[in-house]
Amino acid sequence: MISLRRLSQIIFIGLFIYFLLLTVDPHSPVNVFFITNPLLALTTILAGRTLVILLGASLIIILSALLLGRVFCGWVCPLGTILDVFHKFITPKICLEKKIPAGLSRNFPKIKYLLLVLILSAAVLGINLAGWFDPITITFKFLALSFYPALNLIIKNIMIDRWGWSGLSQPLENVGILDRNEVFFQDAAVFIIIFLIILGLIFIQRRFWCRNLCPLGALLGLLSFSKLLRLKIGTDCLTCQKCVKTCKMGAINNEIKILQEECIQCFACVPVCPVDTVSLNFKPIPVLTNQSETGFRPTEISGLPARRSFLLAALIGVASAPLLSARGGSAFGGKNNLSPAALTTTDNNVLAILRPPGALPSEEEFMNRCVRCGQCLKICPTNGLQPLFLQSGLYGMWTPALMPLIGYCTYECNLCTQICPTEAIQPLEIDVKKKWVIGKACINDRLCIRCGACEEHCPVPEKAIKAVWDEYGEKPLRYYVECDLCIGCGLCEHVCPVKPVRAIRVYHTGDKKCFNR
Amino acid sequence: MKKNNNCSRREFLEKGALIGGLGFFGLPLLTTHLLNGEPAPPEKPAPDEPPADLTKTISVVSGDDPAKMTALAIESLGGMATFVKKDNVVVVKPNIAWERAPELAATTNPEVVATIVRECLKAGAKTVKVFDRTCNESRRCYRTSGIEAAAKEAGGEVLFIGERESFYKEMPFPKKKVTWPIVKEALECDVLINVPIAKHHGLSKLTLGIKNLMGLMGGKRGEIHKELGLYLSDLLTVVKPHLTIIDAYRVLVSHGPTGGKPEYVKMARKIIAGVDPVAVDAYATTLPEFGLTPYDIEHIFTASENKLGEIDLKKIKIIEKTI
Repeated sequence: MISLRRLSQIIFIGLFIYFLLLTVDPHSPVNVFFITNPLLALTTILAGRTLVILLGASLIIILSALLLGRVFCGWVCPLGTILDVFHKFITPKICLEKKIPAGLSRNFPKIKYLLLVLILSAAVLGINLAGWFDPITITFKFLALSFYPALNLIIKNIMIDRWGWSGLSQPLENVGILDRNEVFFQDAAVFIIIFLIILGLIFIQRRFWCRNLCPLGALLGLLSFSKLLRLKIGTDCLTCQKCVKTCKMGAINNEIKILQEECIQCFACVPVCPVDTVSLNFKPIPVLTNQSETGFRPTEISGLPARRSFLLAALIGVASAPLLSARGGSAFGGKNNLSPAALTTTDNNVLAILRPPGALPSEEEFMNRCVRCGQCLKICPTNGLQPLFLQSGLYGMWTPALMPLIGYCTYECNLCTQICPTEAIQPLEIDVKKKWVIGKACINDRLCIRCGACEEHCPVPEKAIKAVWDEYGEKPLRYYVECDLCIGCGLCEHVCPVKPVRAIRVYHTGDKKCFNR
Repeated sequence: MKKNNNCSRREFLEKGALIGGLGFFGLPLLTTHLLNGEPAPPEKPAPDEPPADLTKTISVVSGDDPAKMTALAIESLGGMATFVKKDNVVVVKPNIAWERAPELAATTNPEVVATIVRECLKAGAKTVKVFDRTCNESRRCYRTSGIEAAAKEAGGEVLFIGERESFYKEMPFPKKKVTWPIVKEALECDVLINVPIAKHHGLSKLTLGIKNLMGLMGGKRGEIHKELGLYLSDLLTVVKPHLTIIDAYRVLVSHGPTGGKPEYVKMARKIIAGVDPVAVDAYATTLPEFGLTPYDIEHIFTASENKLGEIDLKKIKIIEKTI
């Protein structure tokens, strides 16, 4: 069984990386790991106040939890697999667990439930925090936005350019490991730091994240109340504690009592039992009748936190709503926040964010629906979609924004609208997308050198940028933006040679600097 | 027992990683070595200078089949063997700057490119490299323009030009007294064939052969538009195409260089080939679809001022053929 589990883990992490590498221009969008994620589905449906059909696929994982418990955590989750692998490699010679008072570490597993309660209660009030804590999005963002660009940089600049291994480039490009473009994401270091912290926590406990922090694991644990595949310890137990030491989830406590909702069905405990009394078996018996047999009494030994802590977490979640929401976010982001009110009244000092095409028009709705999974950033062929840090307040962290200085929205592409698992970026047909207004370009006449690069590149067939010619028709006197035609793709700003401030810039139509609207 | 188990597992993982790593990095290296065989000897037979009269000759073929027209235009100049010798490395530089379908006439006709690649290989070229430093995102341009598929099918090698320094070599621009990064492949090849499409351009009025060579420049090319004539004639001293074949089968007559609507496209049904880049461009300006003279285009005029080619069509022998 253990080798079967390992095989499954290898297959699923392979699939995860394969899909990640496929999340690139010429392929059809693959977001299986995100549309099947029940945590994302739940928060999006609650916070976005809408049913996203795509997310119905998460019923598969929910069903698996109802029947088999946390098999997702033990057999599928890529982050869990990465933690397992790292644990193998750096089998901690230093183990900090013993230095932590037992009274404290016994309470660790409760954190994940509190986190889940916090996320869900915030979601009820319309704040979507799942993207910050969900293990799949954390792993994807780390791999796609930090690790993959870094790997590319190393292979291209050191292996190919410096060592002259040019034979590498073609085969690696074909497999998709090497990107043809130089990819770069803002604040990529943040994702590395988060990931390193999660990795580093294995020095305290094996799979510390899964045991104590993961809100998705908590959700699946709660759903596993009715699971049929149950861990069972027979009466002839020698209390040798071998299974206790083996369990990476702490699902068997020191009194040899089983915490069913912590068990990830990894089967590691079954073979270590000297008298073969530990077993994971299908027990098609309801919970209540099974209790006396397995010694499972949820009220006594379950890792669930006390009612008071639940309430506290819910309260924090509720409190986060006014602190983080787009409207109230000014406490963090100053006046940089864009609220729908600002859009209509054209408030001063509004720095509006350029959202990808198809993004829900209301900034608030967009941020409530976006789960910060980073797939749109990965798939953008020009690298123009970038994760925000605090530009639109704390709540806008890691939401996508078009940054024309880095890349632009290429005219014939609608990939980001196709891949979004929560339809925060609505799926657009290519013809609709070509007319989608991201912003409007504005030319600063005093900076413009009349080179005409913006006019040359403008992808709108009718040319949204036009020139006023001198009387001989020889030299352009000035360039102007035909406001009705401009779609704000940002290519003009991207190619403008004026430094350091571009002479043509794209602004959101809610921005006061945008005089073309 | 536990210890034992642990050990073997680690061993297994280590070995697995070792073998995996070897396969991962070694295999591509190995295969490319096997495929490419021995590295080429440094001295290659350079293509003979074309006969004196060939520099003063251009061939113009009209017809309805771009592929056959291209082949005939090359044949009128003495065949591809005049330019490409055995084991030459040829660079074909079409215009793939924009992400547009071939019908919209913003990029070179893929059939023309494919025919040239085939002719080069027939003449004994070792490799034929096809690339452009595109204005839109390159993968999408290569795909949408149809050139990637056509060139590959014809046996050419399609290259992507990235932004890294290793793709470029800084070259001096004598008149402007600056250096500019130029794509290395174009400088190191034996034969450079420039395959532009004739189309309207917002600033320089027309974009033809000389302007198409801008696709070999790195860096931020936008600013050179201010003094396009000077920069382009400097560029022409750095990269000299051995053959220019203008695709004027479909021409974009307005809203260039990107176009985007079939209304802007007219059928000129011509392929123009020649050795002198200025003369070929000069002829293309006079196409009735454009209705201009060579002197209307600043950069063609500047190039002729700098003795880079012949702008006066009266001094050029024009071989006209129709299919």
